Amino acid sequence: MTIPAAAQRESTEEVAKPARRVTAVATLVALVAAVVMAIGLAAWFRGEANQLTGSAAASNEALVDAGATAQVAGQVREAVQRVFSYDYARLDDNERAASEVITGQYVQSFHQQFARVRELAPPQQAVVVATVPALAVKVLDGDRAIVLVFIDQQAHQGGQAKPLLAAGRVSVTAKRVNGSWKIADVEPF
Amino acid sequence: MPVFVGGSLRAATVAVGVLAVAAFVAAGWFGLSWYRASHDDSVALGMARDAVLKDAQQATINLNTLDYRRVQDGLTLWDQSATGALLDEVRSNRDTYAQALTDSKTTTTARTLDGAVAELDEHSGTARALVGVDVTSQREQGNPSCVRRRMQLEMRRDGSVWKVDRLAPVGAANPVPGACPG
Repeated sequence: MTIPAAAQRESTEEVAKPARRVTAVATLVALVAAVVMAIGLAAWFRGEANQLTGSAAASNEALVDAGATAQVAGQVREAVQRVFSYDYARLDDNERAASEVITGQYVQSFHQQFARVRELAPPQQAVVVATVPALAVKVLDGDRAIVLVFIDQQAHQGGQAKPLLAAGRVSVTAKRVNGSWKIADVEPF
Repeated sequence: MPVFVGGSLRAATVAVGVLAVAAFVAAGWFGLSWYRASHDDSVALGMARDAVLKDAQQATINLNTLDYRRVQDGLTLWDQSATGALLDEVRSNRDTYAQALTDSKTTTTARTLDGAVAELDEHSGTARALVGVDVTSQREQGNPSCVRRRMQLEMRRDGSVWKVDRLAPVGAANPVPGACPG
């Protein structure tokens, strides 16, 4: 008569089981709640961290890396003065000197503009001296920089005592080529 | 409830337990990177730089915008944009300015074009910014005229905002006939 014996054994287990099962289910529910909470926290923290480190502000090293910013500012200032100055008597020298500090798409547009200078400067005996009264590095991101430049041009013409003054505002895109910063684009604003 | 019988319940508990540990480790990791980022000086410096530019551009607009019919509103805006030397100047000359502006019968509107921060000392709360601004002046009768300016602003932190301590044009302004473009 094995069946009653088995039934009896089962019935004693049935008494013990509900209490244990309730505890086990409660544990499971608590763990699920913990998982949900932890995933929520992780997502929140990750969002906050990314907002700080992944923002445009964080990838822009301008002024944050003081040394690199000063280097960009100094070299772009020198390059702008070189590119926007010329002497009707030394145009070959001017164009060659400017070629050393320009790169990318600006190479072509510079030479196009300089062709106009070659037409106009000799008959006017024009000597143009460019200076930079102020500039600021707006963006510095690896080998690329955007520099805001206030540029003054003083144009002396043959037969005229007083020079002409031109005040300009340009946004210069600079690229680092073999360690030195060169002008890649000039946009008046 | 066949799912919760015997071993299945135990297995589910173990699996969810492992998941809970993994999720807490992830939360700890991201919490740490948030802490690190918020205590990173270079992140703070970058954010201060962007705040200086934003406030310098807004202040440039405020200080170049005036309506002779609402002079007091305009001067209040000047007052709010200024600190230090400029604030002293605005406050001590407010009545004189108000009279002159009312008499001028002129409205000016400003638009900032681009700007950048040239210097920033976060510790002392001082900065220098360059801003290009186009200002259109319109007299009650007559044609509008445009001046293209290059401004240099010395900014000082005042509470949570940056205000103008001094401002000066860089070189001569560029007058253009008619209203400013754009």
